[in-house]
Amino acid sequence: MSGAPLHRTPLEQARTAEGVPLAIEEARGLLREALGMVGADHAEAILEAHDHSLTRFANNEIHQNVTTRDHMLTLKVATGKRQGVASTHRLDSTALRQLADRALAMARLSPEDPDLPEPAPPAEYTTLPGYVAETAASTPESRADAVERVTRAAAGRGLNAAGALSTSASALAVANSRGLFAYQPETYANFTCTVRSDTSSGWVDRHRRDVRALDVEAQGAIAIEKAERSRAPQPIDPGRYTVVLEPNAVAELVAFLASLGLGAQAEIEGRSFMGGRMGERITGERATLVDDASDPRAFGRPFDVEGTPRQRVSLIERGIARGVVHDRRTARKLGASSTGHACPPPATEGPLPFSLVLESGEATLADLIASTERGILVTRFWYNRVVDPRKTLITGMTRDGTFLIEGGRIARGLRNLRFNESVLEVLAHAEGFGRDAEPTVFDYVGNCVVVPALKVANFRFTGVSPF
Amino acid sequence: MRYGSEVVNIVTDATTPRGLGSFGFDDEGVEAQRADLVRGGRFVGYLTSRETAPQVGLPSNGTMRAESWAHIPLVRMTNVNLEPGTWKLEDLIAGTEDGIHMITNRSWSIDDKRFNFQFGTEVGYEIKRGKRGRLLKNCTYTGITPEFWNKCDAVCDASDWEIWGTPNCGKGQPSQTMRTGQGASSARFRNIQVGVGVGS
Repeated sequence: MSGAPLHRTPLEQARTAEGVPLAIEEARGLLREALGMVGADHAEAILEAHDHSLTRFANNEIHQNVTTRDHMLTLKVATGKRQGVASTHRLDSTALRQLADRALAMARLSPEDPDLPEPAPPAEYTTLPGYVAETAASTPESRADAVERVTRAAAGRGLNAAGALSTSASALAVANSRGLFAYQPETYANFTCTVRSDTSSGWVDRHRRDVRALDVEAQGAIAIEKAERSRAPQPIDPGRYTVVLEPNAVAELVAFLASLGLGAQAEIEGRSFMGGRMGERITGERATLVDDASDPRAFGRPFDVEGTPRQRVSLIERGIARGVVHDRRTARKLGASSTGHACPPPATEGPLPFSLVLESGEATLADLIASTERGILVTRFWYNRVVDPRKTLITGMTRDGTFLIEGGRIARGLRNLRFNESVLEVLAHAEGFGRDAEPTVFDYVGNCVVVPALKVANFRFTGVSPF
Repeated sequence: MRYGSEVVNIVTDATTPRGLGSFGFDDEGVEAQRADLVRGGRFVGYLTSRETAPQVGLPSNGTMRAESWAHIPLVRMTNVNLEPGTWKLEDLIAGTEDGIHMITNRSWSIDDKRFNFQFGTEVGYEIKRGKRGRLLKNCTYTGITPEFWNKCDAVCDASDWEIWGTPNCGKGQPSQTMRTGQGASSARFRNIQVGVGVGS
């Protein structure tokens, strides 16, 4: 492959009128130039450009306002069965030349990889609306206005608010030496807020494409109410309780399923809870879990970083293990097709679901609480870690609003509790599924989990905190 | 404040050889240094920056660290080390009537005020009448932090001391990832709740 360096507009000028940090034609030109510099059998290039802004507040005042603008080009080259990967944050022609040389040098130094797949063929992609110009246009002033409404309300009640309002606009482009090109602009907005009293705390965390849909003031009011209602929390003995888990708490648990077995590499490595159980009942029959990028709540993309169109994958259907997600490597190894779930290099965990959606029910959160004679309402789980991966056994703490339910009503705040519970058991013991699902985006790989509140019997708490 | 028993001495030490949290100077230009956090079981110091140190009447001990030039520095862990004690590991095991020798943490969870914790280890061995016996699976231990450190009655000496580390300690908004070190030798804790999580 060869090609003369292309004319390059300065990246600030490559921004579109809607604020996308890298226009499609600019992305195409950069990737063409980078691939043209590679003298190898195969090459793939991933270009990400993003603007990320964050307004952080603590003690009821803004103390940090930052904006990061960055772009990164990753080049994967293959010579025979040897692959090298290199990346750069500089996009001038000299940097691209150095990038290609480094990737090729790495490939020559690498051992042969018998499972190395060829790059994906060109494909047609579904259009997924992921970009909201108003989010990209968010300013420090507009974020400060929204935050101030929350901090004023908290201060007015003698409470202390801390958190962050963040917005980002990004573009992802993928190309390879087989002629594939894919491009997707996206936006993302998040409001997270912890409100504290002298003895309690409340919390919210909301994720949307459209910054206007964060509804910051209303969310802040929820955090304030939780902090006020959980004042002077009382201890309760550890043991098994019926719990009502709000969507964020459910998301923390369901997200673990992704790395513990919903990607094909876990199966290949023999560590998956799904291993050898395909077609069998693994959890309750009301539990249906899919990876569905087309769900408008699920922050889906139409393709993965290999350029494969993202498929809808049925993972658990009415409690039966149905499938796992693949990238090109795991698909080749297991004789399957890629479902378009490759992770960016080095992808040590292999493919992962990015848009997990747990099927909702009919109940409102209020219904779930009202139907509980005695139980515990959990706002969120925190510092959750795997205890036994094959059993999907997780431990963690409740935080920022744990309440005793008595006679179908919230009776009082409780001190925080430690749980040890299997995610599959939670789904098996789920007696009520909420109607209103919420998306939670996890920093780790940017995957999203859309889940409703759940009412779960027999949930196991094993310890209590002194606060 | 009594944080642990008298044998518990904990330092922050960014000069520890081979420590993942070692460096020459922090991101405010303060020289890497060692400072007491717990001495003889008493809490005596904080990790500090040039902004926070005067608030506790101390000079900065150089723990202001940023992931990269594009991040704002945060006060955060360097190498936080349990200092060696006086015991030999074989004497510690020989002096234990009924216990579990747990080796290498693989899972850690702690509440937001750092009180209630649960750790899981890669391996564990039963100790009966001073002898190490059968291999145990999925060992876990749990407790409340100051209660746990107050139950520490023995720390092994420098021959057993090792600097461990975490390559991906997360903190801050926007999130920053940092290398941190944790040095320790084997230590004994009495009357600790174990096995929680994996039972019914």
